Amino acid sequence: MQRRQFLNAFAASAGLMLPLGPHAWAATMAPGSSSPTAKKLIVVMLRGAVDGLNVVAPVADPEYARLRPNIALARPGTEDSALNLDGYFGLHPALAPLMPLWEQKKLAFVHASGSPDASRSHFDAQDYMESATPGVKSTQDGWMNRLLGSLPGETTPTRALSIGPVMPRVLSGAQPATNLANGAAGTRSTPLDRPQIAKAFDALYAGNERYGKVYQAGRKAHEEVMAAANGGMMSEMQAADNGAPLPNGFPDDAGRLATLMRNNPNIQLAFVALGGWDTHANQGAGTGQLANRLQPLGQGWRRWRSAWAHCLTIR
Amino acid sequence: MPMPEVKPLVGILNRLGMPLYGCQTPDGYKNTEGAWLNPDGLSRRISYALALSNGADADKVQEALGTSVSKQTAAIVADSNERLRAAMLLGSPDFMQR
Repeated sequence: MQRRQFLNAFAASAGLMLPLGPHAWAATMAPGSSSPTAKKLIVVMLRGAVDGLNVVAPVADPEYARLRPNIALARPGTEDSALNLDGYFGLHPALAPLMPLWEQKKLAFVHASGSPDASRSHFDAQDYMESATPGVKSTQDGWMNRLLGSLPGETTPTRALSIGPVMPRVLSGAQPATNLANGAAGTRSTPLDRPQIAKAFDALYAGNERYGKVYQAGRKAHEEVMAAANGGMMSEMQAADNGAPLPNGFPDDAGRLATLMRNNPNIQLAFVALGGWDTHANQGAGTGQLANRLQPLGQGWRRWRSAWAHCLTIR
Repeated sequence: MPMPEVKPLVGILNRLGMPLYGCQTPDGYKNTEGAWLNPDGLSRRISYALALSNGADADKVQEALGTSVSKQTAAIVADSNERLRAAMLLGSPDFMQR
């Protein structure tokens, strides 16, 4: 899919759609508001190149089972087999939480699409996915940052949010964006929340040519995030878990992101990267390494859905 | 200098976005402004400066940093609460760059 086509689809779409090729999934939503940030886009990048033919598998194709004697997903109907999508393709059983979305026609897969650059380096390939300039290594910014610059309406530092250890390549660039640490650390209060400390550092950075704006953006973004995190929805989210430990960090971060997006309408673009998809060996079929990765992905996705269902109820 | 307790350091490296041996790509962590000059990263470095300077002697910090602290920063720091001075020096705009 060309970037332009994708953007057109993004702009025109209502409802949840668009997994983005073999590395990424995206979703947009339009809750019927006239706000320029009402349509949301969440990109989940599966770093390491997920094996798409075992996520959405052509199970009805006899060549599929023949060419993958050890790792092919079984046809629907047997144990740990693929879940029937359209009679030809089957979904990996670990993504069972997504089946209701498929049945409601709120989920689509764009198969066998990706970067036209045939680099064998996973690192270059990922870089191109994030810069959206396949074959050109010198691009400084990421496509989500450029998108931010061309979206209508006012851009606040929290319009684009990522969850991860550092600002990802895809969101780097001239437009301000916010990066939150994984887990609870992302929404924890900081020393800068204390008025005396804030005052001291405000004075240091006021009017500083190089850092003043970035500092202010950080303060504002943190305030917005904290307000959204403490907006009453977080406790509900925790109650829904019954305090059970999560199998993996992703559903936890997905739940946090959903809370922030519900409570802060400024957040429009979000990015989360998940590692560990480079399953060259011991990938498994219906169970195994790939299944173990897909399970928390499906759980996290389901959390976004439940958050948005709630959002629509409010509307 | 011997390091009796490495866990806090590992935690700080994680929070600052440079987990030890945790770089995703083989070319190592970036040394460009674009990779590190963002609102969240700056806030985290200031938080770290506050933690690091707890109990530190601001005069000694100032002496060690010498001329890398601008006159403007030094003046604002001198005008501030004594207990915050060391943190302000380490978390100042001057300390965010080489």
